Formats: sequence, structure tokens, C-alpha cells
Amino acid sequence: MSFRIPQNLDELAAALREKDENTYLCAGGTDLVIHLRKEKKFHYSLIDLTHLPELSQITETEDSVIIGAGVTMTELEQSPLVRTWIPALSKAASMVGSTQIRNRATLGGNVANASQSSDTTPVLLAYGAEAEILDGTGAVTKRLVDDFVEGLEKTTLGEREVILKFIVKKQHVLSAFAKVGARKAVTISKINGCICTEIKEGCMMHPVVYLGAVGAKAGRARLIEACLEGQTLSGCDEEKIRDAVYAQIEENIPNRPSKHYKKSAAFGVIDQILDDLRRAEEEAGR
Amino acid sequence: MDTNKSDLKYVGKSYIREDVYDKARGKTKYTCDRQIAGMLYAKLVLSEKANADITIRTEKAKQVPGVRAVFTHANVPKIPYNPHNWSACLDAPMDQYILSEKARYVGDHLALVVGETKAAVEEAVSLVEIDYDEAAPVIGLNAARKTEGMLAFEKEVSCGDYEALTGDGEAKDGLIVVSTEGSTQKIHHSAIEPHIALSEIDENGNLVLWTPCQTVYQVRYHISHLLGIPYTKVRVIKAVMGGSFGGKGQTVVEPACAFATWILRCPVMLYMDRQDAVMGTRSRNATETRVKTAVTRDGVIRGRRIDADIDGGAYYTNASAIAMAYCKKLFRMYHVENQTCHVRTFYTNTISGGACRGYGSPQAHAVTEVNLDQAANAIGMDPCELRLKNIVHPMDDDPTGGTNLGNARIEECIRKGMEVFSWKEKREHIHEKDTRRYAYGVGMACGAHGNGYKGAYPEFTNVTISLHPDGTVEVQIGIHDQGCGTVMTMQQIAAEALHMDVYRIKIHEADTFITPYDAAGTQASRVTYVCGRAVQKAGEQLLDKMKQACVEMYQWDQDKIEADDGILRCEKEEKSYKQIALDYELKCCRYMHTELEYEPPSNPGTYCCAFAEVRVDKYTGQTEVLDLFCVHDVGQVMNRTLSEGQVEGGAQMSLGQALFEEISYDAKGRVKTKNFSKYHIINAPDMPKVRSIFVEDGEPDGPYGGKSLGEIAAVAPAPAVANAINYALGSCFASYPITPEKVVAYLEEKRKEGN
Repeated sequence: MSFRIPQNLDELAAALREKDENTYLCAGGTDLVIHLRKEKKFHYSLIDLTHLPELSQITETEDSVIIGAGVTMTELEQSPLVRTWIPALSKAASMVGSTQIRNRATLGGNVANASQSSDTTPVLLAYGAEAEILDGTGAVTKRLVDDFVEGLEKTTLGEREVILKFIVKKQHVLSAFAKVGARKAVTISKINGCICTEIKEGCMMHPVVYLGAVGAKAGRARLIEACLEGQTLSGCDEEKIRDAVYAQIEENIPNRPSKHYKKSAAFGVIDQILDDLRRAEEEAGR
Repeated sequence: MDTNKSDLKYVGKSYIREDVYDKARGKTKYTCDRQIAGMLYAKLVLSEKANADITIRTEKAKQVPGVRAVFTHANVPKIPYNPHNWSACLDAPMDQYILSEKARYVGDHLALVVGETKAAVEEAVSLVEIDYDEAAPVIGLNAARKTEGMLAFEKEVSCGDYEALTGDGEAKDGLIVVSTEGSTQKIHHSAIEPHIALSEIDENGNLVLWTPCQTVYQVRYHISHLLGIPYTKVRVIKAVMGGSFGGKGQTVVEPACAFATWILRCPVMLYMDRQDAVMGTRSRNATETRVKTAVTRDGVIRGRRIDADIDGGAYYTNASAIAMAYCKKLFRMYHVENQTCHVRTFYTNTISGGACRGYGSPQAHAVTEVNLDQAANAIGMDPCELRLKNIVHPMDDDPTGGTNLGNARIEECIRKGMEVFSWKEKREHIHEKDTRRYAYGVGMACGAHGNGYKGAYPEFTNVTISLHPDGTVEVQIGIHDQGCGTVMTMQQIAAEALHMDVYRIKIHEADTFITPYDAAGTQASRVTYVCGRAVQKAGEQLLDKMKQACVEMYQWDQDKIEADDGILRCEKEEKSYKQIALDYELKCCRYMHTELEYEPPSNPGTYCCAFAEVRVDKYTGQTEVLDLFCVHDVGQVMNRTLSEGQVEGGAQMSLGQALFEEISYDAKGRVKTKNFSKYHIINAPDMPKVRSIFVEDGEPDGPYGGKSLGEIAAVAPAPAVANAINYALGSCFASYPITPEKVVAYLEEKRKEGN
């Protein structure tokens, strides 16, 4: 058993080189501790990711917002940069778990844990986010989040790879996120969703819609996108949207008994998101 | 009542409990915070299968460094017990051992690991190898009804003749018969502190055990019975408790803890985690109810038949007690000439039933109160008016021969509630708030509960009360504060009786070496009504004795002595209590104390009604309780802040029953809701502000007119919310919890019909 606390990327790479299958990466620990308990692990090693400045910052370049993998949900919720450029991410982060969980849980952890109920993943996917990944040789590669998240707690990340940061292109879009859990707060998503859309002359153009917790991994909801394309936020055809959402859920989880509930709940999620977009549009118009 | 309410100086006031400062600052030492030199930790190994013969291998577990022992059924005394029996004089069947010889539910106690550190114990628990030879489990009431030999208890209680009234299903005399079917779920008590016990052997060879329990005498009886140690060598001390709600009412972990200490001759702390507590302790019994109410067109309930099946779980525990508790309340709420209640309790391969705040009342009223709203609907009458036409009245008799209902003030509760909640206006206009997405509704419901065991089981308590030469008063009585402020309540009652400062009175909690015997412990809503009255009477007795002493010592005129704030006065002379105690010992050669054995003369009903406003999201199926207003018939409030707290906490549990909570099992009997990420209790964002008022008309035999509150507070909000949802949607939900999934399924069905 060992506990390593790398202070820079070189040390991190060195730790990764020595990492065996009994060694875990630990950032917030909010999923890891549950996992260790569930798997009845008593003897293991940890690599602590909380002392790496590279992982804990939110910065911007001319065309991107860059979010360290160790940024917490609370920081995402409060960051002016994230609020401006990726409002849906800020909203999603604000709805993860409890205050205590949000103070520790990180974006990298939420993505890498690859739960089907992850709240931040649908947003990152809707924005086409990329990640920088470090391996044991010290090499850094860039991959689309969509390419390595598989869902059901699986990714294609290698045994010796770690996410360093996320890169989200600045886009002139409105976005919103909503979720339905068992309760208003401190709740795991039964279904969640994100819409990211351009608005031209009051109409939604090229809306990107992702729904989470209706399949192994948050998935693109093309039937809903097609339905929303060109519709105005103020005059959405409610019944058409309902039909599209129901068809989408049927397509996603045709054999799950939960589909009956999730159809209606997903409609609630989309309705809520459209409502939030409407408000965002009004604010932008002011 | 002997005392006029306006004369009360201490009772009814919002005194601050003495334990809250440390609790609020996190300084209180709960059992899990304690350390005794040489103390070992212990954890139970719970069954992962619902019905199986078992073979256990402990070799690997024993090899973990620091592990001292791994016990199985082979090691424990082959003596059965029933953890529900709170006294040796009770006779509910004894069918379980300290560690089971067979797995009868997921959570059954199969082995006990004892070690030097928690880490060693946890690892060893995971290494205890259990081979399960599985048989098909019986999960749920439906399966139990179809399986032979699962009936544990059956009883029919009735008055009048319901069958004659309705004939063969044909309603006579223009009666309308309204039927409702519904169910209530298994509920975990969700005390913050999971079950725990700590034991050691003291310098005199006594077994000492600290436990956050509800009845030390019950725990003592079980330890003595199981380990063959005389009562006189078993000291059970009620520890500071992080909540119980009935969950720690039965003996659960104490025998195994005591056994480990007795065998290993070491202090042992047996602890559970949340999963253990959810799966391996007790739950509120699940029930299924069918109710038929025969009502006249002008709203008189002529008859009612209730058939209820109760899921008793894997062991007998409270199979008969819960059935009788369920039954009895239904005869003490409404005046129904012809009523039959037929109850059956079944064994299933799930967690056993136990006490849970309200003991049968939350189940009994859950479906019947929805049925009453449906009946009101059927005859076009306001649900409050229907209830007002049929409720019991003060000093009514129990039609089944139970104790008199006492000063039953449910009518006043309903009338006050209607007025303050603006019931009629809201009922008429609530739908005007509806939007395309949200439906609004208001609903109400009533509940009844008791005040102790009089009429059913031995019911008495003992008090010793002493005035010390420093002017403080010490009260010894076997109470167990579960966090609801029982100690403060007793302080206030004693202060009232003795006319002295609340904070100069010390109430010991139960300790079998210190407090005198109490018949039944802190359960059955008996503490304020029975123990409180005992403290009042003992206090009055002591004051009389003090006055007598003054007559003797100072030659005062007995009729002219007055007590006020720790001083006795006679005309111009006065003596502090302290001085009296000192003088009494010196001059009379005795200590100023008194003893009392008290048996209550009655067991009246206690009543409540709740009014709820809800908003149902028709898309997500989620129900939000926007307003909850509760009215309780408490006779006399003991401590206003604590009373309001009880109503709020009771509402939190009842709303959980209504909307969220359920220990759910899959077909194999595995628990799907092992911890709070899946077992949802209402948290602060979902909790409405609970408004409460109290009807205080005085209960003749209660302490200063008081009666029970803590349990009944968890009864009416659930059916009130069900009725509000039904009013919002036009539905007839009577199966709890009313989850978003159920609401959406109902609305989808309706939508399809509409298309």
C-alpha cells in the first residue's frame, strides 16, 4: 500500500509508470470511496491528484475555455467563465449531489467514473469537448470526451492514463441543463439533459440535444433535435415535442421497463430546459 | 385536573434542553465516540440470501491480523428468544438465536467478527465464507398468501354486524358502499445513528452494557435469558441516542455484543453501518388493506369492513402486536355501529417487523382515510363534513371493550384546522392555480393513537425522587430520551409539582442499577402520559412530605404553607428547599425522598388531523408539498418548542411514507435500497414549512392534562397528501409511496383514454 502525492506533471507521470491494478487515482474521492467499499477493497494504493496546479484551474484562450480535471463542482458552479461560456455546465455542476459532495467532486472524476447518470457528461458532449490526457511516459494527447467515455462506469482510458483538462470551444450558443431525480436536491439523475443551440431571428438553429441516464452513456437525441430545428423558443409546439421525446426514449431504451416513466420525465426535462433557454434569450436580448 | 391551566408556571413553556448545547457543537459523546481500554470492535456478518441453509467457514477471516474471534451459530447458546418481548411475562413465540442457524432473510445475523481495529473487523467480515444452499424465498404478501405455513397471526375484531348491514354485497337502505384497496411499504427508521452497543465486565464481575435503546429492562431480560446471567449481574445503561423512531425498540445488537464480552472477557463495541441498519434490524411492517365503507346519502357511516394483511418478515417478533395495534385504532377514530376488522400477519423472507413511530396507526389510517375521501366524493359531501358527522366524542366508550376514549377532541381539531387552513375556500378555488404542467390540490386526513399499554399489557412505572442538601432534586425513573426531549419534559413536570427551577432538577435516564423498574420502556406513546403523571404525583408527594417536615421542624401551620421557586413560606417565615433538606436529615434523621409505584387508571385516545396543499408535476410525476398544517389534540402542551419539533419531525417521516421511502426487494429478496443514495428520505429542500397548532383541553389523568404526541405526529400527513394528490388529479392513489412513476403511469393511462 502506498499513498503518492505528485506535485507536478513529471511526478504524476512517474507515479503512473509505477501504477499497478491495485492503485487508484483519487481526486475528490466521492465515487472512489463508494467503489472501494462496494468492492470490499482493504489493501490498495492511491495517487492523490489534489496537489497539481495544472489540474485545478479554469482559464481561457481566445477560442476556448480550459477546465482542469481537478476543478470541483462548486468551482464550476461559481466560475464566471463557465457561467458565461458554458452555462449548462455550471447548472449541471450545481445539481450534483450535496454541498459537501460538490465541494470535493471533480469534473475529471465525474467524466472518468462514466456513470450513466453523470450530470456533467451530457453537457461536455453537447459542446463537443476535448480532453488532454497524460500517460506514464509523460506524453499528452488530445481526445474527444465522446471518444473515450463508454458509460456504465467504463472508459477506454488506459490503466496509466489520467485526464488533465477539458477544452471547450467558445461558441455563440445558448445552453441549459435540467435533471429529474427522486428529489429536488441531493439526488442522482433518473434522467437529465442538455440543449445547446444557436438562435437566429428567434429560431433555434442546429440545436444539439443530449439526454443522460437513458442508455449506458449520455446520447445525442436526434429525433428531438429534428423537432426543435427552426422552432421559436416562445412558440414551441408542445405536442410535437412530446411526441419527439417519447419516440427518442423508445429508441434509446426500448426494452427497459423504466421507459414508460422516462418518456414523460424526459419531456419534463426538455420542457424545463426550453423554459430556461427562453429566460436566457430574454436576458440576452435585454 | 387538579391545576388550572393558567396557573402553570413551568409546563407548556419552551425551556431549552440541557443536552442541546453539546449536541449542536458536536461535543456530545455518542456510543460510537467512546473508547474503553482494551476495547474490541465487533460487526455482524449479514446474510446475502433470503432463504438458505448455510455452511460457514471462518478460517480465512480468523487469519486477518488483529481478529480475535469469529462466532457463528455453533458458538452461541442454543436458546431462542423473541426480541419483541419487553418482559419475561410476555409470551410472543421465541424463534431466533443470537446468531441464526439458517438464512431467513437478506440481512439475517449469521456470524460475528470481533477484532482489535475496525479495519481488521471489516476485512474479516468480507472473508467469512458462507455457502448457501438456497430455497425459493417468499417475498411480499402476495407470495406469502399463496405459500402454505406462512400465516403467523390472525384475528377478527368487530362491533355490531357489518355483514347483516350490507347483506351479500347488496347495499340496503339506500346505503352506498365505497371500496378502496391500498398498501403501505416497509420503512427504515433512518435514525442518524445506526444500531450500536458497548459492553464490558466491571470490577465486580457484572456485565455492563451501554445501548441507545428504548427499554433497558427488556435488554436486561434478553441478555439474562440468553447468557444465563442473573438479572442482578446485568447492568444495562441507556446511552445517549442518535434517534430511534422505534428502530431501537426491540433488542437488536445487544445480545451479540454482550455475548462477545462475556466469552472474551473484554470490552466490545458492536457497531453497524447504514447498510446493516437498513437490511439487518427491523422495519415498519408493510401492509395491504381492503376497506369497504357503507355510508348513507347524508353522510352517516353505518358500517365498515377492513381486511388487512401485514408483512411480518422472517421472524415472529411483533406479528400479533402490530396486528392488534392496527385493528384497535380503527375503532377509536370514528363512531361506526357495525365494523369488522380482520387482520392477518404473514411470515416472509424479508426483514422482521418492529416498532416504528405510530405502531400500526400510519398503516391503519393510510388507506381508510383515502377511502373516506372517496366516500365523501361518492355522496358529494365535503370530506371534513363527512368526518365531522362520524367522529368520536369526548368520553365515548370503545365499542370493542377497550379503554374509554377520554377527552377525545378530534372535532375541535378538524374545526380549527378548517378555519386556519381556509379549507372550504382552498378546496373550492385550488384548481384555478393549475397550469398546463402543474396540478394543484388540497386534502386532509385524521389519525388516532393511544397513551400507553393499559388494557393490553401490564402498565405501570416506579419513581424515586430525592431532595438533596444542596437544593437539587434527583428523579429516578426508567425513561429513555430518544432525542425528543423526554428528560426536559420530566424536568418541567417535576418543576411544576415542586415549584422549583427546572434546571435544578436532574432526571436520570434508565439504568438497571440506578432507576427503578418500569413495565414497558419508552414506547407505546406512554412516557408523557404514564411516566409524566408518575413524576407529577411523586413530586406532589415529596412536596407534601417537605411541608409535613416543616410542620414538625418549624411548627408551621400546614394549611398556610406555600411553595414558590424553591422556597416554602408560612406567613412571614420562609425556608429554602436546601435548608429543609439539611434540617430534615439533622433533626428528623431521615433523607428527604419519596417513592411511588404508579399504574395509570386509563388509556385515552390522542388525535390529530393534517391539511396539505400539493403541486403535482404532470410531466415528471413529482409531488411537492407546498403547505402542511397539523392540529393535534394533546390535552396540554408540555414544552411548546419540543412539541412543534415533534410535529415537524413526524411530518417528515409521514411525508416520506407518502412520497419517497421504501425498503424494496427484488424477487430473490435482495435489498435494492441499501443506503441513502437509493433509500430516499425527504431532505430539507423538499420539506415544506410545517405549521402546527394544539388543542389543549386537558386530559383528566394526564400530567397537568397532557397526553401523547410523538407518535401520532407521524400518522395524518401521509393520507392528507394522498387525498390532496387525488384531488389534484382526480385519481385514487392509496398505495404508498405515491412515486413519480405511479403518478406518470396514471396520467399516461388517462392521456391514452383521452386520445
